[in-house]
Amino acid sequence: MSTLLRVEHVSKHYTLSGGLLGAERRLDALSDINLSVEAGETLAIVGESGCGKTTLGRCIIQAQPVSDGRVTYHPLGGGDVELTALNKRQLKPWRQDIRMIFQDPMSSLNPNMRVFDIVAEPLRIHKIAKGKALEDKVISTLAKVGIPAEAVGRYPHAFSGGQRQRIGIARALVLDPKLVIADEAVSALDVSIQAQVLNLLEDLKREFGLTYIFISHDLGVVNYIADRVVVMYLGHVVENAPTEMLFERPRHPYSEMLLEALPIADPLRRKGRSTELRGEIPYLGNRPKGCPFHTRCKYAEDRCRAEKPVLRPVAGTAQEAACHFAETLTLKGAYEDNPPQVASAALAGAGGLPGRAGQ
Amino acid sequence: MTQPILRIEDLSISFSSPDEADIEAVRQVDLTLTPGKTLALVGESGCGKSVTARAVLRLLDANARIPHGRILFQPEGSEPTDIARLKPDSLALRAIRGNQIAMIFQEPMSSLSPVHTIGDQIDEMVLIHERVNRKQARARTVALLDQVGIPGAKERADAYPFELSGGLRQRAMIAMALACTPRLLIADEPTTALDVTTQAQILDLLRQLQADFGMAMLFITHDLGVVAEIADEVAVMYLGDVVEQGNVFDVFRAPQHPYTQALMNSIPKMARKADRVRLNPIKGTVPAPKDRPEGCAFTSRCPHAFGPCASERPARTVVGEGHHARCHLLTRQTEEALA
Repeated sequence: MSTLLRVEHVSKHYTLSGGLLGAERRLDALSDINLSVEAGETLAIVGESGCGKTTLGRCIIQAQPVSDGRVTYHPLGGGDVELTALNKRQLKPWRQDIRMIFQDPMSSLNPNMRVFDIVAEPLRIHKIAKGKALEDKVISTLAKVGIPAEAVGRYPHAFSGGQRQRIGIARALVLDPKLVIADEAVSALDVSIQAQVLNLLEDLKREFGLTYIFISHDLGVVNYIADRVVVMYLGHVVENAPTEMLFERPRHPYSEMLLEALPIADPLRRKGRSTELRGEIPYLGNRPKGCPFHTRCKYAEDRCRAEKPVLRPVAGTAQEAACHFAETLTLKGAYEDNPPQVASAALAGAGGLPGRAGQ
Repeated sequence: MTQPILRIEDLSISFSSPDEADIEAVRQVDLTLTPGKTLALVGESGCGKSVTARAVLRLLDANARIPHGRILFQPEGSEPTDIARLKPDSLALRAIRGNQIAMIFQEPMSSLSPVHTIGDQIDEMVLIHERVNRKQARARTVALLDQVGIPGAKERADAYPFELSGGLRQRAMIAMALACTPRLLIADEPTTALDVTTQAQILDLLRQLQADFGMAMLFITHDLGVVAEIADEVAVMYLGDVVEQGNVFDVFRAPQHPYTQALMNSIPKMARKADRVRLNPIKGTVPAPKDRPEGCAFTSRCPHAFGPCASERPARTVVGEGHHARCHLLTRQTEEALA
């Protein structure tokens, strides 16, 4: 596997005016983010609201300038393109390769444009196709996501939430991108529709050899779809690990807390945990000194309050964590200890019942 | 067995509109709530779960009607009241609403008054329903805020909603609902707008408060994970019908209605890569209520649909102790077994 995208020491801060007499304040949305995306993988970025996951996505596609650091794209043919060093005009050709799918299918489609034009617009802007070729491309892309050709003349309001999300996906895919950033792409959908869209994203990935950055707060979905997970907290990457390792044995206490908080759809695995989860995310403007998580961490020691841990490989694993005690802590994962086949077999058995009766 | 505190029987709710035919948002709901227990009402958007919850307090919009059905509220030691027959603004209902049945909403920012402090808003609840003076009311408010885990309750009572975080706002909302120690708490997606760690804290809080107060809870959600976490009983709604109700362990272990089964197969399992199964989503989308089949509402998407499904309403069939489902497959099986 080769690296498709590299994010190095990226920081993003906003300046808040302090009013008439107050001093200006700096809000650090991202602090020194380092990560790489391998070609063909699905990398998930998870965290709670305000952790910077969306800002990071926007900094990668250059929808927002970074304050510091570099984002480098490595096209599959070879070469390096430092996206953060390019101006708008120089960026344009690379915008075909890196595309985005947004969370809310209600607000991310222009209500005054027909579906055909929504999907055709990127082709027109990049002057890739016109006339019959453009029409064919748009129709075939929409067919791939399950929107029939006779519906292309309608406006977005005529479609359900799931269909609108499909249109958003078609708009991203029509330029044959290499990297797709999906920002909470299934969060606004009902579970049955969410499952359809997750399957669609998987099929499209296989068919077009895509790489995904999947930004989400839903760890159940992330476990299902991602190969690797980056966990963010208050603008920092606190853990970067292959999915199964993270869910088996997380190496950062915040990852453990997220997994602990995740409700699992099995009443037999109900948790009695009131003491485990503490506090709330601090306001970004007064981030704690030392480790950003120490105010809520049940394992915190004096060192955590004084010294900020850096993201580093955890000895003996393929995981990276920003915790002073990543090697020594035994943190709890999310998988069941007993083999999980039992549960799925019971469900399959139950699912088969009316099927038999129907024959 | 304890006597149920609320029984909803064959309830329907329809909405009129000036230029369209009436829409029957809720067609057939039967629910039973027991004191000290939590019933989770689960379903996808538009299935009528929130409308059902609001109907219990008669908080429906002016164009809503209840064509048939009963909502029988019977606190211990008193006669049952049919809420469906009361006027929404009657004294009888106002004595129940907020006092014996309280409700918490999804988005605390839009359901709390932005121009009153949370202390004043909770005081008001107490003052309306009980004979206490302002000072006593405030003392109760502070105790409540403390009980729901708001740090510095005495000072925070003077805070406006915008000064609190989402989690604290939801706690304040819960404190307000509990102000008059209700017998029944209705929680409409109370954790949907919250982050996972905050959601877990609020679920813990609700569980603990329920144990302290011994109240019944009707918990509306779309999230099966949350259902598994908090419910004793679960009722599944699809397009205005309750299709299945039962003990949470039974329903998750052996769902009987094809819709419940399909819903369970739509969520990713927390499993290792080796045990991963591809999701099996439900075909198509939920039809509009006006296109609902006369029979079982799920017919158009059901993989097992056969003869009578589209035209005949399936009967409520007992499939286990306290476990019911409405599906023709279940009655057909018994017929075949008898034959």
